[in-house]
Amino acid sequence: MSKLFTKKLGLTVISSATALTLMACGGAGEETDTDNADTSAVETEGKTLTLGVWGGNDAEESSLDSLISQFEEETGAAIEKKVYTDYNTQIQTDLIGGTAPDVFYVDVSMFDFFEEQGTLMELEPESFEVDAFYDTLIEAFSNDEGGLYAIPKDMSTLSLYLNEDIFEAAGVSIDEVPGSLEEYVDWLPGFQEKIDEAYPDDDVFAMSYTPELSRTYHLMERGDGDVITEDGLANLNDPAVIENLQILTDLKDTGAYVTPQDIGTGWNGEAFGIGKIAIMDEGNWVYQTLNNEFSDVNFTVKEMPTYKDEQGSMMFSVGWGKYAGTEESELADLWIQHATGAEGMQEWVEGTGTLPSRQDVAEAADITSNPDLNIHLEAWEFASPWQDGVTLTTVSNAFNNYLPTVMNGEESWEAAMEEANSQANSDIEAAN
Amino acid sequence: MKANSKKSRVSKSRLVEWFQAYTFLAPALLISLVFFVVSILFSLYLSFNNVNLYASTYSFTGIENYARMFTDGRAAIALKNTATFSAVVVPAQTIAALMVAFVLASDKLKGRKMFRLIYFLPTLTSSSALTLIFMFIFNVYGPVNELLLNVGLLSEPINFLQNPEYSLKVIMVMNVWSTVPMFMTIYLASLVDLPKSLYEAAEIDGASSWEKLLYITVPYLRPITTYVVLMGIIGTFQMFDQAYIFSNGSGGPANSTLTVALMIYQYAFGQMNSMGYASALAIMLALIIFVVSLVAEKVNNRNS
Repeated sequence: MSKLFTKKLGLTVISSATALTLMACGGAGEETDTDNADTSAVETEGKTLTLGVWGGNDAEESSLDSLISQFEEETGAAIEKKVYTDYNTQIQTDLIGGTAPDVFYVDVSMFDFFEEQGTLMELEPESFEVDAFYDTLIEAFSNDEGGLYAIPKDMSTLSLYLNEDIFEAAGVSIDEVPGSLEEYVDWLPGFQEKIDEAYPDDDVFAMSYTPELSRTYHLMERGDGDVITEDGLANLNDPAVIENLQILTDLKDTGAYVTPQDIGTGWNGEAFGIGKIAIMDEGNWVYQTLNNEFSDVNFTVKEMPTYKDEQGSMMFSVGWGKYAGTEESELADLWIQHATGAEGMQEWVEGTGTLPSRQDVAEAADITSNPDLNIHLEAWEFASPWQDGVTLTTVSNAFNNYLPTVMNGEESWEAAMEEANSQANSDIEAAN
Repeated sequence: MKANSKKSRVSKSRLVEWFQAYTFLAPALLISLVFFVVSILFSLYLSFNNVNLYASTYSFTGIENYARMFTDGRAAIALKNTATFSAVVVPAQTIAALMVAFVLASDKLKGRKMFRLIYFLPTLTSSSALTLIFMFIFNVYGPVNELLLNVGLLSEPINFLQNPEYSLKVIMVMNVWSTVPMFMTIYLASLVDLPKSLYEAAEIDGASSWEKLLYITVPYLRPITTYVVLMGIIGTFQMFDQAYIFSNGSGGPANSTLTVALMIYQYAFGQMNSMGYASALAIMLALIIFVVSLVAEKVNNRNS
């Protein structure tokens, strides 16, 4: 069997496999004209645009459906929604098979990978009012040369959530909560004691953490800390990074710092909602959950505590990216303009409770007048985007793999991070 | 053929039969050709190449991907975890399924239909829901720790989920619990056909229940046991979902829940373009399953 034949055969297999399960649209590699200066002249009537999204909650579904029907009415084009149940594997299969949707969700942590593989078409900054967006987000969706490849549809940041009911039961004022993580180490044991007195029969804890790099990244990057070097190599065993991580074990040693899994819950929102946790750091997606599913919990949102005298938080975002092989490039631009324009985004954030990625929408949607959400919004200035090149997934896997052994007291930071680092780097070097 | 008209009629009807048979087989053949034969061949091809599927670039690297396995410490850990997992789970689930089936097949047991139904329920639970339930049961402040602390077996709770020594064991328990009912049903179906006269004859000879199980039931079920063991080996060597959910995809803590299938997933769908290595791992896994199954079958048949 000749090599060329096998190659073609393989491609046929992959494409037929994806075509069977997914609606086909557009062929890979067929570059279309990216010029979209005069969008009003675009012929849209009767055309079809495919959107690739993952299934969100009910609020997200209905907000997206409403945006879609407006777009269909305005343009006369039809929109097909392709909902991924396992985004990571399915979008990769679609992109490889050349059956990817014209426009699709691009998670900020996947952006570098998609861009490097040439799956995204460059976008004209002038067509999308980029000046209205938070610049951190526009940067996150641009490559090293400054080319823009996706438009952020919304954003989320981490902030601190305090359960007022537990504070009240323990007889501690919310104002007593320290401003820096270093102070927490001394303050948590006393707080935990008071909680234990107030809830003698229940396991209620002062504070929770999520044991993942996507949550601790910003702490590790303080000062001289650099989790991933410029060459994309893991740098987890760097003394500066390890020094930054020390705070996690210090907090753990107070006995008041647990993971949601430790206390038998799936995630922070649930643990906090059922009243097992007094303080957690979580993204604004939990805000709606607490209001809808745990409406009897009284809580307040505060800024993340400082660490090493610096403010910090994580920023997550999803953008709309245009498939490099799309045949409906102009229609795709129109959709992105519609969904990320001032009006569309306002409807989206009001419907879903997410934060806008545009400053003008933040004001128009009146988010600034909600003190809780405003804390999340203002965190954009110091939050680190969850993005660090194409090796981030590999490094993150290795870190998450070894983090529990340190938090559980079996290994030192030095030993565990050495192992995690060599695991990640052997994969990274093998790929280069 | 021309000389003998009778023979030609026969072959004509044969032809019709042949045509019908293959018409009915066609959809299945087509599907197995595309999804099994071609996929396996393509995977084999990928395993000898350095692949970037996005750019459709394939550079032949010979056995480099296979050689990498032997220097990759994680591959050894994954194989060790998977083999340990299989070595514990397969015998445990086979013996448990056999015992439960033996008891439930007895006429003397009251309400056995009810028990059959109850015992079958775990199979109907989705493995993701199951994993979350077990993670709840085994957490530091969960029911298992509470029980062990209360009866005085432990003085300190065990962190089953985050301690590498225990995490794989939790998945083992979970896996046995969820697979036993399925195999129990298979055993039960065969036990229904077991002639009662054999048991009666043994009873006259003064055999106890235990002896009846050991000398009648077990030998009678040997072909079924071969099937159960083979399915068990294949199932455990391909274990993915429970480890994935348990460790959130990382295979942690400290690679203790890293199975070969999870490792294949990490390399195939990561961002490192290591599809070639993932394919080589998959081919190797298939070979290992093949060899282990062959040995298990030989051992089981030799004992008969």
